Parts: sequence; C-alpha cells; structure tokens
Amino acid sequence: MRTLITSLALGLAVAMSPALGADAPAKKTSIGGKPSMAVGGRFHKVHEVQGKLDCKDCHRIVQKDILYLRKDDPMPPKMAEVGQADRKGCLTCHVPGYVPDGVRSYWGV
Amino acid sequence: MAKFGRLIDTKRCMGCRSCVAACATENHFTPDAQWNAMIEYEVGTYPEVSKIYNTMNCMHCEKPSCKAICDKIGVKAISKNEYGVVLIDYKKCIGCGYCAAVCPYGVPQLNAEVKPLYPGKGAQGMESIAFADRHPLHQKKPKTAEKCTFCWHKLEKAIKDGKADRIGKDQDYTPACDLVCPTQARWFGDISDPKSEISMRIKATNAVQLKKHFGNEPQVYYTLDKGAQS
Repeated sequence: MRTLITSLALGLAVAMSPALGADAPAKKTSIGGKPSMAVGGRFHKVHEVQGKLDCKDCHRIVQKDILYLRKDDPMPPKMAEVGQADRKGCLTCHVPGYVPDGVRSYWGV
Repeated sequence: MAKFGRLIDTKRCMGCRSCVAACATENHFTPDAQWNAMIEYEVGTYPEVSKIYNTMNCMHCEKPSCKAICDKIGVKAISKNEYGVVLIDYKKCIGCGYCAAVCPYGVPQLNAEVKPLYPGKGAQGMESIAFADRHPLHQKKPKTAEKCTFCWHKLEKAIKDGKADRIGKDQDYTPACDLVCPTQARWFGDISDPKSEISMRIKATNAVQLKKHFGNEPQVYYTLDKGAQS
C-alpha cells in the first residue's frame, strides 16, 4: 500500500511539473543602456520589450495611422505629433500593490 | 516645521497670465521649458458656456513621481526638502527626461537649450547676473530638467533672515507668481498650520488637489469653478 501511495505521489508530481514551471518567475530581459526617453531608448524598451506594450497603448492621441499618412506628412510620424503619453494609462500597471512581472509602482507608494 | 503650499482659485482667475510673466522674469524660463503654464478650456453647453483658466506649476507632491523615478535609476538629482519643496539639482541631472515622462501634471521640462529671455535685446533681469553669482537654481544648463521651485531662492532667504512667518506676505519672501495676481486668485503659505490664512481658505472654499487618483498628494490646491476638471 505504501508503495502504491508513493508511486501515485511521484506520478502526480511528474504530471504537474509543466504547470509548476509555468508559475516560475519570468526570465529577465536585459534592456541595458543609460536612461533615455528616445524612441528605442531604455524607457521605451522597458515598456515595449518587457511590458509588451504597443505605441498606441500609451500614446492614445495618435490619430495618424501609418496607412493614412499623406505625402507631405513626416515619415515616420514624429514624436511631436504623437504627443505626450496619456498618463492615465500608466495607472493600469503602476498602482500600489500591483506588481506584474517586475513592473514597479512609483505612484502613491 | 512649515510645509509650504499654494491655493489657486479658478473662480477668481481671469487668465491674464501675470503669474506666468512674473515667473518667466524671476526664474528666466523660456517657452521651451515653462515653469508656469496657463491652461484654458471651455465648459458647459451653449448658451451656458464659460471658460476655465487653470495655471499649472509644480505641485511639490508629498510623493513626487519625478523623485521616485530619478532615485530608481540612481541619478538622485531630485530632492524634497524639509519644507516640502521639490527641487532639481542641475549638476546631477543627466537629462534623461524620465521625470518629465512620469509626472502626472506634466511639470518637469527638459530644456534643450538655454535661450535668452528676450532674444536680440541683450541680457534682461536675472540674465545680467554673472552665471557663478546666480542662485544654484538659476544656474541653468542645456539638456537639463527644470521646473517651478516655489521660488525657493526667496523662501530660503526668508528662512535665513529668520522671517519665515513673512512668507506669503512680504515681496522679498513670496513666490513671484503669487505676488502679482491682480484678482487675488493665488495664495501661498504654510499648509501644515491649520490656522494659517491659506489653510483656512483651502477649507472655506473646499479646495481640492488635482488628479488625486495618481496618489502623489500635491501641495497645491485648487478652488474649482463650476465645471472645472479636477
């Protein structure tokens, strides 16, 4: 009987191992470089690569879709046109007590 | 210890921008890096419409996002002193612009170039003082973050002179923007003292902090006109 229980426990552990693996901490992505707000710089990398955000997730006032640009419009759209990110969107992740995959809160804490 | 704050009454403000001009002259901010900006917008529906004038300077938050991110990246150029004033050390600032990106109020400005106050008209006001002789907060550098300091150079003087009680009252010890308001829409003083004039006005006018949901706990309060956003 003891052998049967041990075998069952081992079998269960093996069967559960992929699920346990999925709960393991996400692999850290090196974003390197000195702090920079430039497109492709560290700030954008953190949010694009680690946060997996699209430009429009933050820059919600973007109206000019690349497909609707006219010949006189700058290519690609300049940041001046994109404008400031809507900071309300920041609070989607940056809230006290909510720390998804290494995102740190810096508001209200 | 006093904790300085400001009250802006949008019911009284008529959008004249005297406060903006006074700050520009006192602190030599240029259009690319405004320390005090006037935001105006319309509210209501025709025929009952009105205009809201809302000046935005640094909120000197209890929990400043700019300082948090600056500390986080190890630069530590932003500090909050014992009087509640948030200041940027230009010598430490690396010009990354993170503070400008995270401030919910859009306050810090990355000044790409320190331009003359009145181009082509020679040195004016503070510009005529030799760079080394200026207050550290006026020793501006290009590619450096700047913002409203609550005119710390004046508050510091009051504290050194032992006249902190005259802050918000005397010309030499009060922020330039608060001195010039022709409609008395701006008040400055110790918000930690419930008996101070500003504290009593905040209470009497039900003044509120803007964008409270960010949790920054600003030290600037607004008395909101009908329809004004908070």
